[in-house]
Amino acid sequence: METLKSNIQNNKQLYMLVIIFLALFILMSILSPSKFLTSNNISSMMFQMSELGVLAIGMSIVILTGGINLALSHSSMLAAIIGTLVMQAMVSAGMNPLLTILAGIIVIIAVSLILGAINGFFIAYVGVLPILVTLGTRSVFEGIGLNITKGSALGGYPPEFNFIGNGVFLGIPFPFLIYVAVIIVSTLLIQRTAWGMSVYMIGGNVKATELSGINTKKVLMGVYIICGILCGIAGVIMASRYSSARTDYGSSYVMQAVTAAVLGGTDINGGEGTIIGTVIGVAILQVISSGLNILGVNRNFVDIIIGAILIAVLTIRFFSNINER
Amino acid sequence: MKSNSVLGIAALGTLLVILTGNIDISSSGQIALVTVVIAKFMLAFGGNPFIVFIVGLATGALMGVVNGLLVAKLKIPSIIATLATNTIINGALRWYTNGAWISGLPDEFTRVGDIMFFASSEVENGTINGVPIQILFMVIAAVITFFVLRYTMFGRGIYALGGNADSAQRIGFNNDRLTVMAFTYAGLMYGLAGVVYTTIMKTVDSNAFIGFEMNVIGAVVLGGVSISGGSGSVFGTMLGMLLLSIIKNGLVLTRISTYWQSIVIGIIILFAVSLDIINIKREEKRTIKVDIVKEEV
Repeated sequence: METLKSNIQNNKQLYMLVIIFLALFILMSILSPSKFLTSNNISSMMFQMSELGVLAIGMSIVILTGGINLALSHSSMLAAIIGTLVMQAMVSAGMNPLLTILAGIIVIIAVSLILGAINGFFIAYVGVLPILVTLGTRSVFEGIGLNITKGSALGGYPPEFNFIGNGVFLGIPFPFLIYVAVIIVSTLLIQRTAWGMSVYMIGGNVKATELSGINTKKVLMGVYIICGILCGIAGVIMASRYSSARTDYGSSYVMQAVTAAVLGGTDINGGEGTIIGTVIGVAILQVISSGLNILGVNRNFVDIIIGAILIAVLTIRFFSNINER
Repeated sequence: MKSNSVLGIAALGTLLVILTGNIDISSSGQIALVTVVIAKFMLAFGGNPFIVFIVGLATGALMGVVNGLLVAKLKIPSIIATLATNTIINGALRWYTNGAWISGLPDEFTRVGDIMFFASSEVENGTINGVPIQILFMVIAAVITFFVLRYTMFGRGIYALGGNADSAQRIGFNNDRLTVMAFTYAGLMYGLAGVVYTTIMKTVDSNAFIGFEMNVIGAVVLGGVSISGGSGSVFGTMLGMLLLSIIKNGLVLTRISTYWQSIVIGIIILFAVSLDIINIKREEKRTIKVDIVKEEV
């Protein structure tokens, strides 16, 4: 009983989020039982959630260090575009489709990793603020992508590639399985390893972390590389789902990822937050946008509500912090 | 050149917010809101330019107050607060206008946009040489901002707040009020930018500004402002704006594909901020050495 009580005390924010999520889910189910609570809708929500979810996890790891990554979606898409070029070449050379897909995925993730490392280099080793670096690299990545695609969408994958983003495995959407794997791995990495601990410490106080003998530059570099890999995974899912790659796919995800992370209790100044919080944040956003969509609410009105919820949650947190003091 | 005045005026607003150590990513939403509000206002009540200006500035200022209150009173980090307001404004605009353009603005107003100063009487190559009214607006805004920052208590307070919030408080500045005022001033500038934009385009497209906030922040940063607050100048911001517009213009004139624009601008931002940091680090090393020498003496 004691442990349960302290558990609730420690994770008050998390439980509040779960309650908000359940309340919204039940509310939507009541408002539109014949449409919202159908396996069709639930699975389409799972499809949509996965892309944003993977990106949001990448974003929240970066935010944990006190940074931000504005180049998120553009890294995903630049990597996907280059991967598409490779796959196109292999398809026209008449190579084995499975080999082509494998090569494509490896190229996308590798390129995205390099893009993450570029961000990491400027942030960790040059010491420029993340918001400025990623503002710059975002522009560069977008420009390179535009130069390759000339603004249109690139496609021409082997048909089997579609499975990654659109397939269903054991009744569960395949991208959702990827998302779950990402959640598990990143939770273990961030919350159960010494490296993950140092990520939190950097977000709390960089100088103190450095003085306690941690190579903060190396950790920061690692954070942006991991974010890059996650961008790559999201890039694979998106390219497969839309069976094409284009520079502006997912560009609205950057701000949504920040919203999900902050909604999920991540402190924008770093040092506080959990992966699972972000996951719930993503789920809340998804329930709101799918639910309102089904109710026939204008898509743009959904944006207004999401913005309002963000402000409301932070306001509630502000007042509950005052009460605690 | 004319259209860059919108960027310049908006950058002046964002400059003040960044000087306080906050950031404002809602400039695009606010400018778009102002353009739609004044367009609807003109269609309903006629286009007296003076009244339109006041309506535009007031709309911007009101949005600025909201942002300022969220940041100062509710202690919501500025990046999140302005992200949220930007989302709300853009959603509301698209919901309201359905993405449609608003045209048919009264002549009384659109004529203002064609006014030229120091215009030469001869027409060369079909265009009249002179200083467009929009540039004049930008210069006036820059001069006013310069004086506000340099010679008023408010301006000095902004530098103090951005340099060190605690010491600013101890000297006797009301930090919360300064923050609200800085956001309000930014809102005023976005209001002006919105009006100036409408005088150029003569139609209003609520989607025209999506992503514009990044250009605005880019111009401010290129102008040498420290993003963590406390240092930066109007002159630098204007130079940053000029640099951005010269790059864009130059690339167009040399017939390099427009796709290169964002690459070049991105690389310049990266280089500018990196050089800045490297210089600061070098200077820090130098000062440390001086300290050691002093101790030995």
